[in-house]
Amino acid sequence: VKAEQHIRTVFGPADPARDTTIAPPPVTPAQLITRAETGAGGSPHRRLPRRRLMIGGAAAAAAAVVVAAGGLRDAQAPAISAGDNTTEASNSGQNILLAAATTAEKTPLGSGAYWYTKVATTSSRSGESFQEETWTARDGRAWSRSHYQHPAAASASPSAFPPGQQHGKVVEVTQPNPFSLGGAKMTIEQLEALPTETTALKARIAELVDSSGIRTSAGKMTPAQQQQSVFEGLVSLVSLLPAPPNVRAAALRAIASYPNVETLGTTEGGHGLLITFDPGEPPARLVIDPHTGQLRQTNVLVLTYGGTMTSDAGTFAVTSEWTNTPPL
Amino acid sequence: MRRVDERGERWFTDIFAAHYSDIVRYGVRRLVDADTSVEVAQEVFEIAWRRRRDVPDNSLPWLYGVARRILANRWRAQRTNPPAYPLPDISTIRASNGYGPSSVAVIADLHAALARLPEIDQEIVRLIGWEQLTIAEAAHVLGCTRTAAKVRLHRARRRLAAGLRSPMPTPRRPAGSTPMKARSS
Repeated sequence: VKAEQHIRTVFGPADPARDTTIAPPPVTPAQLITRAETGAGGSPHRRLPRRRLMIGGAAAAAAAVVVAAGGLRDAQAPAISAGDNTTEASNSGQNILLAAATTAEKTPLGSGAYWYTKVATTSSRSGESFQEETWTARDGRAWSRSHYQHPAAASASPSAFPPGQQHGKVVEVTQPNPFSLGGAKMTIEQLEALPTETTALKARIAELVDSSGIRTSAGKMTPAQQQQSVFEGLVSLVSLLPAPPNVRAAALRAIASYPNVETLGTTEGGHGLLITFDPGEPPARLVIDPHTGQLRQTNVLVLTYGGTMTSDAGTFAVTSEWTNTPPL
Repeated sequence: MRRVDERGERWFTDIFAAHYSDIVRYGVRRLVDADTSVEVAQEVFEIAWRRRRDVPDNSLPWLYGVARRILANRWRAQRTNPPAYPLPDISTIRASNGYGPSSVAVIADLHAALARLPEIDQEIVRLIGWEQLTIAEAAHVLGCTRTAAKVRLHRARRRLAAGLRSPMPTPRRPAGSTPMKARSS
């Protein structure tokens, strides 16, 4: 009772409706009964309250805590980190993604002999920079070229390269699967046949994640890890995979539907977005180019052949397009 | 105890007369927009009629609970979040509450401190502080146990006290601990 009284004393003066005069109701009780009986005037569909999607960490104990805390929150509850008051910004973050989807949709289907990608990152801590370019022909042949630069070394460090790769040289690579989505092998044709509707697309990626049988060090993926994989699949569709424009648009819309999308404003290359899954995990940082609907920067990167890269310090700059220029 | 079977037009007219303005106020406190608050109130009472057999005798917390879900659905449908500052129009507050200019800053601080709480904790504070419900009634609105509501209220009071002492708080953490995904921007 003391606590209740204290809150009333402190917050009473801030009550926006404390002395508001309420106008008489525009309808009579009898009219409301009629409406309720006939269903006229908008029937509220009874929807199940959707719980906020929580992506747990690897540690089961941590995940359990997160789920317990998250279960009480509604899907559209604002992000809850201390000091966060950017709920209005989160709305515009979703709008940016939706606008990018509209732009992506209008982009003509790419043509060209090679699907070209470039990923570049520079560690803000050590100053090391790394860049990888890939070319994938429609018949599945693939080439790659990498650059690695350490600020302390005048020349590249050869040890940083996987066997068979050389600094700055184009090499033909044999990949078991040229493209990967949700851990499953994909051909260009299969990517082009993906659903173009958001829910169906997410469901399809979830199926792929499920069937790929990915296991973590702790065994089978938890539902939270599966959800994370679905999200990564969506990011890969708007970054490095040769998805057709309408699939890309659907992926952008799906990303927009995640509960906590916040905007970071205009940054280099486009518009920055922060997507928080789990208060205990670093949020995904994405930069979307509103003119092309393409992802320009990300800290969650699923490489075309399925490997995942995360940036400890900074984001990856991403370029991907169809080209007729052969690998040099 | 009134028999539920007897609930008819008379019962409905009574609860409508008693609580219509409470439900509109509930909306005004969370929506800024008075017209939408009136719409939501009508929707609440339509639902109350259809589910009249489920409405408890102490109907107000139940009605608030319905209003809360309707608002949540609207925000979800419009892909927006509840406004962070329920009614930041300070001049309106000053005029209607009769508080002098010196308290305007205090009220702004109260709103800011409240906006920094998790949504459900904000709602508990509003339900108790503004709708003047008891903890048990607030728990009913939120569909949680009385104990859970009590714990949340306790935590909210602590955080509000901290928030009001430092109007622009930075997340504090013990020295040497890992910074939690800093929202750097």
